Amino acid sequence: MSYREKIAWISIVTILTIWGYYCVRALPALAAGTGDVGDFVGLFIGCTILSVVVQVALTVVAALMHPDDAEARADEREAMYDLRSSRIAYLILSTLVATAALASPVVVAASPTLFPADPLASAVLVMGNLILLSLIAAELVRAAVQIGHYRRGA
Amino acid sequence: MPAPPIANAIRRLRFEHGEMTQAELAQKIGMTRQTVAAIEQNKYSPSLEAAFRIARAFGASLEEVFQWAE
Repeated sequence: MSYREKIAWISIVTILTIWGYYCVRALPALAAGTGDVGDFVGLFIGCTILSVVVQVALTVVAALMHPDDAEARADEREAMYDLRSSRIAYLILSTLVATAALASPVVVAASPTLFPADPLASAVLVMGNLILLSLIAAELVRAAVQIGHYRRGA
Repeated sequence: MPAPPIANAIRRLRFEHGEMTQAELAQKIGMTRQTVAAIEQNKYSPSLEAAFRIARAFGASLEEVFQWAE
């Protein structure tokens, strides 16, 4: 397995574990209107820091396993895979963010029922989580498409 | 996507150049070993520049390395 395929796997594993944990913790609470804004923000910041730390640590390990590849720029085939996967991920991200934006009136209207004490924070939380889910989905697709290319070799 | 009708003689040329490894060829042309393997197996068509680099690595012409196999 090449260095850059390992990086794509690291991305997928990190997203599925850390952001999967975030979703399992945050989304049911958000839907039920339990917890407070500080809990969600704390969970988000914790997952972001953990995600960065784990990705950096695993990338360093991969670089130690492939020191030459890690220092070298992506060659033309790897750059092509990166472009193809980024194009698909961009389409998914833009579609999901546009959908979230179109849904924002519904979110704003529904949010007071989630956290009656702070309707504005509720709306921000829900919109923020919709955008976060869009980013997670796009990054998952980007890494998965890259791995698909590397596996097929074409 | 179907493989392009392009054959190559990279495996033979590597053999004729002292069993040059894919990694050695990759280093000479500034690519990864996996990309050389993909080119050799006709899974990936290199750019014109990369094709010239491969040919130069063997001291061969482009058509000695790559052939349109239709």
